[in-house]
Amino acid sequence: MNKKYYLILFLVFLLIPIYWMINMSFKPNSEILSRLTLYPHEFTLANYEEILTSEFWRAGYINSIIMASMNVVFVVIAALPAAYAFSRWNFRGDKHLFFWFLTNRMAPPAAFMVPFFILYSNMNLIDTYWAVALAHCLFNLPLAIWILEGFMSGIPKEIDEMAFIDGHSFTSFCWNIFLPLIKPGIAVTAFLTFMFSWVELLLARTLTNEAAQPITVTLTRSLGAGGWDWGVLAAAGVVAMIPGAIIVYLVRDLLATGFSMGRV
Amino acid sequence: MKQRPWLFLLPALLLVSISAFIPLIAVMNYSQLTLLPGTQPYFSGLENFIAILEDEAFRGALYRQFIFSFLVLITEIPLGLGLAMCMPKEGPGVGVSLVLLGIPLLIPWNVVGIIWRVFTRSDIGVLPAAFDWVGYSYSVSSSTADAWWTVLAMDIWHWTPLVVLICYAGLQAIPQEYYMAAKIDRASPWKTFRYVTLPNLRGVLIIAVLLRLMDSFKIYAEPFVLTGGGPGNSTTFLSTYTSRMAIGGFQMGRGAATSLIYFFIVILLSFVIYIVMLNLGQGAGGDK
Amino acid sequence: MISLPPDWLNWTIPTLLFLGSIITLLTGMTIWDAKDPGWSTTEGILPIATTRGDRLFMGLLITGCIFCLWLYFFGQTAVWGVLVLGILSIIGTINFF
Repeated sequence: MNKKYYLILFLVFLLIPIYWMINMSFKPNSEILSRLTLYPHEFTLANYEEILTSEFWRAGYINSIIMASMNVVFVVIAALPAAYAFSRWNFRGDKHLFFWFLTNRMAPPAAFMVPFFILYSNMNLIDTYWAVALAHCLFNLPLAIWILEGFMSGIPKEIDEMAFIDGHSFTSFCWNIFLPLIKPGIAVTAFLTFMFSWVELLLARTLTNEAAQPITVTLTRSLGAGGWDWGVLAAAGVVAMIPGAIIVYLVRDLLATGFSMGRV
Repeated sequence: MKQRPWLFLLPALLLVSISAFIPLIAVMNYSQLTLLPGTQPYFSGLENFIAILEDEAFRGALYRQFIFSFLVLITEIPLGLGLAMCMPKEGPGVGVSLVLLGIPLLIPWNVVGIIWRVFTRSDIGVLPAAFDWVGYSYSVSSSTADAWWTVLAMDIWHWTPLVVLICYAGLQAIPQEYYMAAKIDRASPWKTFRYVTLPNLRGVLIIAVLLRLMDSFKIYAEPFVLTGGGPGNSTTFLSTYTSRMAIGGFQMGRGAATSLIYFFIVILLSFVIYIVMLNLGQGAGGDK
Repeated sequence: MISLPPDWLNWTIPTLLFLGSIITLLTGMTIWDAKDPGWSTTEGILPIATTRGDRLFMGLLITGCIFCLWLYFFGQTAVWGVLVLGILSIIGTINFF
């Protein structure tokens, strides 16, 4: 089939900028700034050394991982029952409530920066993991409910009814039957939630100062401080990509089945 | 028994009220106040809204935003759908493609901006060098057109993979029997696509279109790092304008009023698209 | 950095009125729907099935548009006109859409 080549062409297009970033991360600044080279002529690991040994960068990564994971936990815990309610029952105003949840994803983060800052200052949460993890629910929760609802609607209601006839209690039905069935759906949701939380900049920058600064913010702060250290930035970008890539790789089978399970 | 759905919705509602509803009320309040640093806020009614609506820069940003989102949708959705149809259905290729497609989505947005900025720098960038070679002088910082299509190319690079992933999910869910039936009827590839693939993808396409619409309206970090909104104001989109008002500027009330108008426009557009797509090619009623 | 307003929510009367009327509308619609269920119909102008709630929402969206246009063209003069037009558009959409 020749249509496979279109896909390969696109993947190449995707990989060119990424190759460029990796290429840059192995160059010293003098080479980056002096000429255009397609591969590192003066190969160096100094950029990575700087990142992996500096407390500043390491803290950024750890903070990012903790925040994104906390956000995934909040979102999945809240979205599972909500999606179940939307997919299983008709109740007054359900569609409107569903759309209202969706509208929260449309909310511009730029609009919510100031209120968030003030709200979390009053709750003494500024510069903690909680602030960012809770704030990211703004755009992640609607997405999670949306996607999980799709997955759950793909599972026939008869399965629920059969289980109840067989004498399962509601909790045992959830644990033993329902959750295993939608595991791929949860994987897809968790992946997307983690991804959006991992890469978000605006809210994370507003709500953290130093102690809880995630990697995206560390990257911008280092931009401001006198000149751009391109090599280190590129290396930081590469390292920032790695946790996500590992997650995708680990859950790739779940993703493949998850993405193929039902209408998303 | 009747209250059970609401019991299930409770955690989500609580979370939304802290993360969205209370801040929204605050935004509504601020939009009617004049908030200057160091002074008591005082009530100024609708003045903020009027000032925004009459601001040339706001209308410019809005206009550019509409064009940008429109271009994003008409390129990314067909491209994503087409590529999803090119994806292998099974075998090791699936995993590899999924991982590769996932990569651009996982790069922090400002790094995306940085990569493209390096790409387009006149002294060390690849794009200027490539264009120089074909005899076109390319410059993001001085040519509006170049800046525009670079931001667009960056967005396509960044977000088409998400559309591919979503469409791929939808395609996988279509039972193979439908295609068998189409083959037996000797339907042309176009007819098969039109009458088998598209109708079955409706739900998935709604998600893809709405997600891209909402997110393209929120685009901020990438053009900000790439071009800083310039040259001039030519790549200043709504979000850039709003945040400039809300923090960069000194008038938080204006920022809040901008946000409300902006929010309203996105809800309006999403609602219209949602309703239209839900009812397209299908008689009365819809699934959700 | 961001300068804080002294008191964080800064309640204003228009916001209270706005939220109050939305809550009243929702309660009213719930009671109306409980007494006389208005599920999907295609009777109105629009070629699609809408419930009463959908039509109320459309009415609110139209009111929002009228509000923006009014502010743009007439400024603060006679803003109460928006209220009148808004009520009319909601009644209109609920009855005819």
